[in-house]
Amino acid sequence: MPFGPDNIIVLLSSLLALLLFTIALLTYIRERRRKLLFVTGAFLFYFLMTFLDATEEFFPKNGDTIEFIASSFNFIVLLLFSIAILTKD
Amino acid sequence: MELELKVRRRIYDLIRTFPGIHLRELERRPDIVIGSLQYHLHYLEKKRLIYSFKDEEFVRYFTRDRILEENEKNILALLRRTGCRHILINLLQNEGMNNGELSNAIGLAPSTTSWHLNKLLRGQVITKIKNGRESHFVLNEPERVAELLICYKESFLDSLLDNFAEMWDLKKARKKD
Repeated sequence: MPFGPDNIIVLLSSLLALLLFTIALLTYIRERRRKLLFVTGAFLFYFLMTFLDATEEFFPKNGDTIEFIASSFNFIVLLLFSIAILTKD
Repeated sequence: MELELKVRRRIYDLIRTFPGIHLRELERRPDIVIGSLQYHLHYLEKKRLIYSFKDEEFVRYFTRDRILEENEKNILALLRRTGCRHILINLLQNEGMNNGELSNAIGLAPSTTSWHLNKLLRGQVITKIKNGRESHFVLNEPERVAELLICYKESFLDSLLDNFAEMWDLKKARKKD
């Protein structure tokens, strides 16, 4: 399978999402604020979503399950960000 | 008080970065006011944050490795939070400020300020004094807080986490200490 620039971008996105999740988690551990917990959750699902994307790029599988899970994660990410914005600490 | 803290921190940082630095070298720094330098050095020595010894014609300064007591570790942990740190600096300058005054001074929403104040109250760093319907806050050990503010050094991780937390505080206008 050719290793193109799109693969690199997907991989980089996944790593960046993991970094953002780690920062969010550390901030939540320090601050213990509900708003940050939702943001941490959103970044976790964002990371899982990009991770799924990356695995699909490198190990293509056929089936709608992965696509359904990725779409669900997409929805959860947006939902968690919305809750974080609406949450008052 | 804030200016004094800044100058003392600057002097302390210089001595920590350049162990054995002498008075003349400190005087040459453009950001150090010569007139008050000896007074601040004397203060830092008295508080056992630095020590000096005479090396021929120079008096050389070194930072003292301080073994932190349990409550000092607790104060330092709270100083890592920007909100708490700003509250403590403000209370050092104006003892007895209330939630609203502190909220205005540090640029945080009253609810967020209250959250930080509760952390400081639980850590027994400050005390709440009820005056009718208003609550005023005072530091339990202002001298110790001032000393620890000199020792405190913001790490890259602290500032990274502060920036991240700040992104989610819409009403906050960042104030640098």
